[in-house]
Amino acid sequence: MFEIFGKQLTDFSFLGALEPQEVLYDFDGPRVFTSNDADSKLLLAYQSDESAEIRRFIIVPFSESLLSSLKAGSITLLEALDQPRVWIADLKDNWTLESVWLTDLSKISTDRLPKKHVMLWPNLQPKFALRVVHDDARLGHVPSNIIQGTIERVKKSFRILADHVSETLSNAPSDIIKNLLNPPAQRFAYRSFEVAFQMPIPKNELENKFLEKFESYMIQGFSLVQSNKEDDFLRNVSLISETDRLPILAALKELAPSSQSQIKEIEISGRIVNKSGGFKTLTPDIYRNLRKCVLALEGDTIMVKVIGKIKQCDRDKFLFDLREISSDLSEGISSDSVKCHYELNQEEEVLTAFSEGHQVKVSGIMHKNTNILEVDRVMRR
Amino acid sequence: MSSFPSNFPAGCPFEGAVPADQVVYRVVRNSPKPSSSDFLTHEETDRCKRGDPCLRCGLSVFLTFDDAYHQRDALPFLGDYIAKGTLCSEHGKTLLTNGKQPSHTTWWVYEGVKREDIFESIDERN
Repeated sequence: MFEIFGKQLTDFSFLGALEPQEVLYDFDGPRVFTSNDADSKLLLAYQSDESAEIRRFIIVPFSESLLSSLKAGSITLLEALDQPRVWIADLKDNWTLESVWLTDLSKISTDRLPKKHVMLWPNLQPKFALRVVHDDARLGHVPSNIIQGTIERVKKSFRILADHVSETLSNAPSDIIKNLLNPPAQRFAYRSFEVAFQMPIPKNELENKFLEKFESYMIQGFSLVQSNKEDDFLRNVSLISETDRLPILAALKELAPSSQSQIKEIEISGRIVNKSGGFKTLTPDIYRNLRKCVLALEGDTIMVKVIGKIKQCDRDKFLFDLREISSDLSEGISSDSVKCHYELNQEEEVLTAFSEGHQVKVSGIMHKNTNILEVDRVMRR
Repeated sequence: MSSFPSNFPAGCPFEGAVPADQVVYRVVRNSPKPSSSDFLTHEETDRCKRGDPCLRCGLSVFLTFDDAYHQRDALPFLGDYIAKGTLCSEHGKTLLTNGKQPSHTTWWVYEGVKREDIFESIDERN
């Protein structure tokens, strides 16, 4: 049994008999249940340990509204236990209270508490959740543009995959598509900003087939989020069938933060991402890899290496003009000026070259239709 | 002929229990090979005396990996590992006894079955 850090109480009659009122999780006995204290006020009890003679419960004051939230999957089991007062109660097998301690949730070892993502019941685990890590998002203060932007990411990403699934099925069900593009949000959390989604419930076999395919594409996309290294990334991309590659990568790109977005990273989790509740992290590096792959797959692009000087720079649009091009040292370029689009992490190099006027070697992918070079690397010559 | 232990109460297993014939999962404390202590019923450990006498003689298992995963994360003290076993009719009878856990199943084990030999741990806590 785990060591208890807290004050042992001599009088714990206020807790009542801890008789289960509503058993919320039963597995060889009540493991999570509600009970009434001596004043008929609601308590939540969660079993955290046991020995041959003792069952050890964490007890917290509870309310009907918290109970509704717990049962609806709006709060996790751990959030339910995070209450102003926390007691640990040892119950003997005949269900009599033996000892009670007043403690604090932070004083209880994490391996005796539910993992932070876990809902009360398995069916309440969100299918898909995003947590945005952003300097301006913290508990009690989440700018609305972060909320709006996060929802938009999901909608755009889902749209790409839904369109692709529709193309592969001869008779795409319109209702489920409509519901997918407006996915029900299960919960919001404001410690950074997190939103969790459920998937629509299929009403027939066709919708079920559509959703299965949709989720399988999501799973394939999330399997790419393992490493920031480009080589590993490309190896994983090659495992996706050629027909599905572009929509899967494009959908994932919509979810990932670019280095210009001020979002440091986005954690994705949920049953589609990882059944065991872990999360994967989308970073600007992954975004860059995705963008390069998507551009290459879309065609109408060429690899370019060009040497010149940065003569004009638009920091708002992350664009610069490269001029005085050394045609003999450049590949894929015939004009004397190239418009280049760079990333935030390249800004320092770009601005230095712009202010000092030295030559730079720029490599990247050029869109044939826009003639804009998407900068992969910019280096001083 | 396989039989249940003589201390099972009358009418146990419940009506509706069928010869075991499925893959099941259970959260266990020992890995890679679960031990006999991972598969003891409340009746065998003399605990939970207030519980239903027939359910006390059975072992709780899940039919899906997801339910076991959820339990492992919801109640970490039960164990760090998930054991998978394929039950057949020689191992006893089962009955879906699901409440809020969709695939919760009670397995009443025939006398003499070495339960730990049927299972292997398949996943560590991550």
